[in-house]
Amino acid sequence: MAEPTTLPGQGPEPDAGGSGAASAAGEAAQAPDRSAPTPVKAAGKAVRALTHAASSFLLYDATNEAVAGFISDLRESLDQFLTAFGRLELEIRPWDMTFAGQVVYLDRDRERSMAFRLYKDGVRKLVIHPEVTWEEIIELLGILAVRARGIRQHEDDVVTMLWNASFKHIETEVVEGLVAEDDERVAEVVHETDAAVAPRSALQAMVFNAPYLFDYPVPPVGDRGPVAYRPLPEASFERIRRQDGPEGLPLECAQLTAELLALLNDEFDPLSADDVVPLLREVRAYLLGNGLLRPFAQILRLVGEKAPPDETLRGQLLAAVADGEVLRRLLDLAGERRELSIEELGEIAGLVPGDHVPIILDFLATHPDGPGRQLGILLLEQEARTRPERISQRLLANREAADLELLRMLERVNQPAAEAAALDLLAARAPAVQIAALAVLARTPYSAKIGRALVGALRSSAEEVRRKALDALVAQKERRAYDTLVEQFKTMAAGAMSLGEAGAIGEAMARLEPERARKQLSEWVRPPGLLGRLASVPLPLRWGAVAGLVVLGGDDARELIEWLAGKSSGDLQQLCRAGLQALAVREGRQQR
Amino acid sequence: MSESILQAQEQIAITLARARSEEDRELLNNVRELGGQVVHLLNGLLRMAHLHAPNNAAFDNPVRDFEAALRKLIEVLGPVYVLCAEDQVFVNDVRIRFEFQIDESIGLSTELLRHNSGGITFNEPLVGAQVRSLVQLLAGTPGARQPRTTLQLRLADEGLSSVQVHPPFRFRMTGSEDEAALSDEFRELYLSAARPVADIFAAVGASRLPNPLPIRRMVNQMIDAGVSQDIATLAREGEQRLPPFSQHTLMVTALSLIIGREARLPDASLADLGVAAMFHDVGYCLREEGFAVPFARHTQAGLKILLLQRGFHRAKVRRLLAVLQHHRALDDPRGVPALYSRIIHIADDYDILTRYRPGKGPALAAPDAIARMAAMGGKLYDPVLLQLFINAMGPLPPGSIATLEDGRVVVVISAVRSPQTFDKPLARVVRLPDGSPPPADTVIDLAYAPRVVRVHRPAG
Repeated sequence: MAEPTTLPGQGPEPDAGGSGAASAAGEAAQAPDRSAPTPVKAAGKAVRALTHAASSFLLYDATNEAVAGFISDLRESLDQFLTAFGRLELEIRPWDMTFAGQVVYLDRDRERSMAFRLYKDGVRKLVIHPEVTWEEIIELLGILAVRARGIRQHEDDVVTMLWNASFKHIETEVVEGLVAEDDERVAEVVHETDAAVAPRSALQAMVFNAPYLFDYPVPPVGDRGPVAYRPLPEASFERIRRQDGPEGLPLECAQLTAELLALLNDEFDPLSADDVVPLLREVRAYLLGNGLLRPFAQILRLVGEKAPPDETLRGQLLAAVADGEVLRRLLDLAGERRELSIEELGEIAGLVPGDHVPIILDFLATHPDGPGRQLGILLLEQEARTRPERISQRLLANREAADLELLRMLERVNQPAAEAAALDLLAARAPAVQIAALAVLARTPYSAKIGRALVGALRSSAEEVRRKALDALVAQKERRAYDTLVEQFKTMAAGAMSLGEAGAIGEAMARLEPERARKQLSEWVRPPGLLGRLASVPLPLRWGAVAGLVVLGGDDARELIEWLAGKSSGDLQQLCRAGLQALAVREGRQQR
Repeated sequence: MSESILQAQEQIAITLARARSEEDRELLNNVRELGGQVVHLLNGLLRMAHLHAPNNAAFDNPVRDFEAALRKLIEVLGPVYVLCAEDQVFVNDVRIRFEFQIDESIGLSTELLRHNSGGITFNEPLVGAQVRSLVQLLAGTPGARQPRTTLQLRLADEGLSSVQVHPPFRFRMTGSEDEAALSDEFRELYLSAARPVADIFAAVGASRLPNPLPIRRMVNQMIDAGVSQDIATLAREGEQRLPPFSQHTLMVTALSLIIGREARLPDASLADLGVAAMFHDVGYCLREEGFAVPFARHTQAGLKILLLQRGFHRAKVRRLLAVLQHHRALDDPRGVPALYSRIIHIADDYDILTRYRPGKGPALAAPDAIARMAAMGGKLYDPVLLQLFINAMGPLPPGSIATLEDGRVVVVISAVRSPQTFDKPLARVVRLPDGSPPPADTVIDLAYAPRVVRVHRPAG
């Protein structure tokens, strides 16, 4: 472990020989600056900061910004005290905490008072030394926060947590337990024994008097071996440390799971689901809570492989290790941690029994972005292949905010379902939804139904949708759309339309019906007859015509564009020149 | 926001999440709720007893409620301990809140103190008439001499021997005089561990979930005391005064802690290991169709009862594995046992081999046991952990009886003191060369004494 960090700005203890507080109090008395805080005031400030920070976890999530503020105050006030006055020694009493005999914290509300909580847990004195590290303060704060939240643990109470912490610079004086003041012997009610320890109750006496029967079979040891002192290499201790440390625990969880599963099949006295299920749930919560996905997957696989064949029991065991909550957590973790690939996460999620679809769909609905979506969509693929109804239903439930990634997945794995959904989604008003639907329809095998839908999309109020519909029509080679397209072009050209769209329509016309388009487009460039020449052709039609003629190519097209270039100016002339250039390049390429 | 503050927040968030996951909320809520009812009702009944005759109809409802609450609580917990200390009341280690009447707890405490008592244990449910008798006795005039004993006898006369009264309690402090007397003196601490171990065994014997917390505190004190003391020797000396049931359990715990410390486990891990060792044989306390659980199934029986504890904790996982695997060989086809299981296996086997059994003596003398175990490294035992055990105990472990070259017979009274004196511990002379006992207590350092020529196996 790295050297502990000393609190920033922390100086040496002011008096090495005696009580820091007493000495500091003396110094404070001699100091000319009367506004300087006294040790008691500074201690009060630090204690308040400590209790506020610990209590803040009652109100806020640990990661809340307000909590950060309290922790920051704690660091500042504690640092100030320790730097100026040395060690902070607090006596804990039922209602208050005192420093140097003076009350620095008081709260008579039993359920709120930090003093009372510590007192009733058996803490009687708390001493923070000036050399205390920030890590130690945080560990202490964590213990106090556990107590403030009223969490009482069966395995570690506050006293054992303080003991476990092995603080180097924080001392506590704690109640070690209740001791009986036994001035009356209980020999009258229980049997006297020769042993030094007499039982105190009939219940204890029952055990005290039990015959010694433990572990009688003698271990199967054989011949003698050499008994010599042998120092062990550091690597041996390192291996033990790893097994004992946090990295060893998940392995032990797996080991215990395997043992329990084997005992479910025990011939004489099998364990039951009631014995095993609660522990499996706890192990699952621990592993997922700590993001230990690989060990979790290992346990899930173990249960899948080793659970007894009885379907009910098997179902109970699998449900204990993995249920909808687990799936949600996996989806969350896919966003938080990248230690496992989406495919690996998918494999784990695939082991989770039950109906995943509603959970994943709910997750997707509430998570508009993030890697968790990727996993969710991957997990839905199998369902989409065989039973796409629920996915389509969810997709269409709110067309305007339809999940387009779902639509794309559907298209990947089940095109008929995607086509049906896309046709439905074309009715949405949101252009993004319509465009996505058109993209699907552009790639879907053609049918009259699709053709009608695409033509219908040409009447969309959004230009990007109309242009996407054009692309789709061209991709589907829907020649029957040609007349509608021309009529619509004429109508639109009379009003306001973008030249970009005009060009796109011209190109679409050329691609859908080359021969008819050549005639129509030529007329828009150079209208036939005298009257035609006198009439003014709207700019979008001419723009579309040039774009279309460039697609069609040929001498007549080039001649027409040259003619128009000579007659026009500005952007149209530029377009004609660019078109001619494109034609020249294409012809040159063809000649070569 | 500085990085260290953010890290602090993350760390505390983890601490809180972990603590929540370790809590057995269901049990705690039951104890809080039902325990609170039992204490409040008992308190109320005692007050009423000063105002009404015991057959007064005013008692009917509270007596019925008390009876029901106590029955439910016993179903959940087994024996119910109501203890008063200072102004607080605890039911099986859970403090009972007195939100509206702060004086209420003091009232119960005062009533019990009149009988020189600090608590009551209800081992069985009571019926209405028994509740009335109990209340009458508690509210009645205390005995003039030995009031608690008098109360206990009166309870027995009324057919209430399942109710036990305890002496007054006070909190014992770290660093206080009595603590020093107990904790600093390992032997005393070792002896005092017998009672919590008995409670655990009794709870398990009644198929009830044992509470590991008192055992954990006891183990913590053993670890603290063991820092500066030779616990192998002290444990062996102390156990002669222990009742038989706890000798093996406590010795296996002490030996496991020795191996754990040699393996450089941190104190928190040693505590988990010690608690696991304390529980390793609890399976024997159970009954199968009225008979003691046989050796072949004691591990599984122990596991089954410990599985009742709710809440995730690393100590629990390791304890369960230790209970299940502590007889399993290193090369078992089911896989290498877990670390604590391997440690307890060595401690357990050593104690089984060397434990004195009345009329039979030990299976092997201590030096013989350790030599035969040494040959099983890599097969039965983890060779690294076994070597650590050997390095701590030496070829002449505490309790070894040996004859020196000069004819004196000695008993070894220390574990290994240094690598240089590995095979030369301290020893107490028990016989002079002529077979007579020494005139005075004589401790010799075998590093400066004639060599050992023979070791003895104690006779039965």
